[in-house]
Formats: sequence, C-alpha cells, structure tokens
Amino acid sequence: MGITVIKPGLFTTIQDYGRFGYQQLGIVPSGAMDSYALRIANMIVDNQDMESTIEITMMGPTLRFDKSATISIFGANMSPEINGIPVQTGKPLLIQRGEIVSFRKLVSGARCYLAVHGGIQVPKILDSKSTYVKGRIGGLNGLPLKAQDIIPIQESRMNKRAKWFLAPEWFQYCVSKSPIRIIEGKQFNMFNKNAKRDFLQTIYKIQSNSDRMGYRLQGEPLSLSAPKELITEGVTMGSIQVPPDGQPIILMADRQTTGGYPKIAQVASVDLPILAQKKPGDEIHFEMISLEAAQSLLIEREKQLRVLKKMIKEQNRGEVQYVQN
Amino acid sequence: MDYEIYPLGDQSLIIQFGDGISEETNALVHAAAEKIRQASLPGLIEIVPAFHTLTVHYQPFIVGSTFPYRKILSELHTILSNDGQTNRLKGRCIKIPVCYDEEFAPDLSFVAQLNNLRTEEVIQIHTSNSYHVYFLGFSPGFPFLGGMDNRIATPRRDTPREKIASGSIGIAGAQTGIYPIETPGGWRIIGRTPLTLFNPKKTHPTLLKPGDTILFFPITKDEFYSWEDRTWELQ
Repeated sequence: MGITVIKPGLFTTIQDYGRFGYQQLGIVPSGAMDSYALRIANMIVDNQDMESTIEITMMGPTLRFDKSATISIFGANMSPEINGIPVQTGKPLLIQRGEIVSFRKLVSGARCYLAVHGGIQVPKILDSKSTYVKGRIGGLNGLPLKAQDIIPIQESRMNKRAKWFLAPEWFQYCVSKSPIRIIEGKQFNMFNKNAKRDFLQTIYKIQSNSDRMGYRLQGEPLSLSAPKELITEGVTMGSIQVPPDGQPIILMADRQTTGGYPKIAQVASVDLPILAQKKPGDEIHFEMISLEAAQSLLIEREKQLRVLKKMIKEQNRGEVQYVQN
Repeated sequence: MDYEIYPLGDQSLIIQFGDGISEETNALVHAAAEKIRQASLPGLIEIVPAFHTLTVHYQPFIVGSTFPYRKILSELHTILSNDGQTNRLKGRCIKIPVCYDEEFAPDLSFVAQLNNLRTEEVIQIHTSNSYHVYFLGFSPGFPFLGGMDNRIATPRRDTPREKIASGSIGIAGAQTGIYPIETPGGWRIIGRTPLTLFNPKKTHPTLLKPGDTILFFPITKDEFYSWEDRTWELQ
C-alpha cells in the first residue's frame, strides 16, 4: 500500500537528484529537471536534500493516499487540492489515509515536486531512484506513472498541523522573465560574428518538441565561420548545442553523456531552475556572464539553501513531529 | 602528456589531448582518467572519457575558494604532471554474433549499393576487422568503435528513425556501433545481435568496457532466435 494513482497527469515521474557516477558507461544522470525545487520540497518534510520525489509536469496527477503521510509541494503553481480543497504549498501538509491530492490549473512555471516524508520507497537502480524512461530504469519500472500504479511510501503522521510556510519570494523564480545567464561554450569562437550577435539578441521560443532530454529553440540559424566536423565529447545539463540546421538545443536532465555538435554556450547552473520552469511556447533570451561570476552565484545559492535548511529544521522542530510505524 | 583544459560550464571541464581520433590519444585519455580517479580529488563527481577528451564533473562549492575552476585547474595540472605509472587498460576480446538477415538489416542493401558491393561482401568486410572500444557514450553501454573498413562507410540517414531495436548494428560514416537499448537513431542498420549490452541489474551494467576489442561473426535467423546469452558469465 502507498499512493494509488487515479489519474497520472501529463508526464509524472519519480526523480531524485540524479544517477551520478555512471556517465563513463553512457548512462545519463537524469534526476529532477529543477534540482532547486527538489531540494526545497525535501527540506520541508525533513528529508535528505537529494531524496526521491514525484516530478509533476504541467498537468498534475490525481493521487489517493492509502496511508497517512506528510508531504510538501514546491515549484510550479498547479493549484493543488486535498479532497477538493485548495492548499497552500511550500509547507508540510498532513494527508490522512484515504485523502486525495489533485491539481487544477497551471498558474505559473512548468514543474512541481511532491515530496513525501521518508522518500519514495522504490529500489535504487545504479544508486538512484530517478526514472530514465528511454533506458527503462529507475522509478516505477522505468516508466512515467499510469493509472492504477501504486507508489510505495512510508507512513507518517504529524502530531499537529504546521503553521509556518515559505514566503512567496521563494517561488518567484518560476515566473522570472530575466535573461537566462550563460557562459561561453567550448566552441563559441568557432561561430561567425553574426551568429554570436544573433544568439545574444534573439528572443527564442521554446518549441513543442522539447522534453526532459532537451529544449529546442527556434530563431535566425546560427552558423560556424567555417564548416567543421567535431569529434564527439562530453556534454552536461545546460550545454547549448547547435546542430547543422543552426537551431540551438539546450540539453536538460535526460541528455546524452556525449555529443558531437558545437556548443555555443552553457547555461549558468544558478539559472537552470528558471529554465526547468519554462514550458513549450515560453520565450527566453540570454545574457553572457563570466565563468567566475557564474561560480560565485552558484556558491551564493548553495549558502542560501543551507541557511534555508537550518531555518526549516528549526520551524519543524517546534511544530512538526513524525509518528512512524 | 600534452593537453589543454576548457571549462564546460560552471560545474564541469574538458581536458583535451590532441585533436584527432587515434588509439594512442585515447590511451592518454584513459591513463589520465586513472590518475584522476586515484587522486580522489575533493568535490569530484565523476569523469567521462571520450575519443580525445576527458570530461570532469565537479561540485564548485565543495572544491572551495572564490573561483573553484581556477583551484581545480591547478590541482589537475599537478595530478597530470605526476609521472606515476598507470596501468594501460586491459582489454578483453569479445565475439559478437550478428544476424545480417534482412529482417534485422533494413539498410544492408543500401550500404551495399552505395559502395558497389554485394550484401555478402558487406557482411564479409564487416566481420573481418577487429574493433577497438574507445569509450561508451550516447546511450547506456553504446560503444564508440574504431577500425571499420572504409569500403563500407555510409552516411547517416537524413531523417533519423524514431525507433531502433536494441541490439541493432549500425554504420554512420566510417563508424560502426551497436544500439544497446531501443532509441531513435540515424545510423544505417545492417544487422542485429541477440546479446544484451546493457543490464541495469548488474553491478557492472554494460557488456563492453573501454579498451576491449570486439569481433563480429555472422549467425542465421534460427541461431539468433535460439541464442543463449552466455557472454555476461565472462565478467
């Protein structure tokens, strides 16, 4: 017994921080598209930051809890409800046995994370519970959730309802219109002058065939100064590749481990969560920053998350106690 | 050891050895990988060898300093300048049965036609060379192989197929490879192996490792369907 999937939603998978350590075998890390939201969702229910959660994409599932549980929802606003009553996100929520969690309208962002105290109790495959659908591994049989699936969880109850909640500012990044900050890619200087200029001036629309593997963008085709066949080399989440048709692709969580297209740029890690909250049809544009600036932003972010974790722990200590059996 | 280091964003970097594909360069890549593994660098997540590059993924926050890239760069230079012995990859020789029957080989006749060969000649050429596994990439357990005869080289399809069955043997330009799992793909498909190349239930989940040598040998359709996969027992 655990959570019974009544309706699966558009594309709902179990994801933790990712399957690291196996890229040398061609196995992609996968993991949460928005690792920032994953970590915060986990912190709220006193999990390890990198614990497995349910990643919900644009249209939420309907889930019946056959065990009582403590959950949190963080990231995109998809108007969540418990037994048809709207609930606040960014705080620990008590779900009684038999209650139903469902979602209505997508108000902002694209992905939200439903964390359960104790994590999702599926086996680790190659050290991770993340679902990699193309490789049929992780999560529930390597597949997105479908109706009638049962998601195993640990039973937990809170002795009273939490009063604290995260301020709306924490959700602001889901509606950010700021430019996505990038760093020069390894092959940036192989592109011609027009391409370098156009890339930074174009407002790109995310194409409908974008998914967890990559976001396809469309604009003025970008060309190299001279045609060159590259030798396949490493890529990572946020690498922006330009195939021969000149239309950039941003590699996301289910990317390949290596790629042979020139990389014009790389998204600064601190802005990957903003990107993960964009959906097909949304517009983005880029701003170039230095590697040093990108790393110092990332360090700041990490410090901020560590402070948040402490604050949440303290709040929960006073208000939330888990009863387990 | 001559190399250059380039950032790959703010949490990874690429160490590049030379600018071509050769077994010698690739041996340098794997030797460097071994040195870095042994050094147990703080903040290191994982390292990913390719033909002539080694990608290092790291956690800037754990590496520390105000500019972690600069710090890990100098640590890598120290590790790579150390002349300590590293073992060359001990490759195994793995024989891979391939059924070249048209049921599994939708592009075999195209490869033959394009190169003015008969299909039997394509099979004969494909099975007479030995192939070096440079690295695994693209998808779980997918081997990048060197050593294919140029007489059967064929460009990729203009439009990739939506689904390539697992075990499919393909040709792309002057390369040959095996699809371990069902994925989309643009390679010309000339046969299929009954062997499993990726098994996530194993501690070492891929059949092949960098440094291995593989040989293809032809089997019939009957043999394909009744093949008992014993290759994993070697591991």
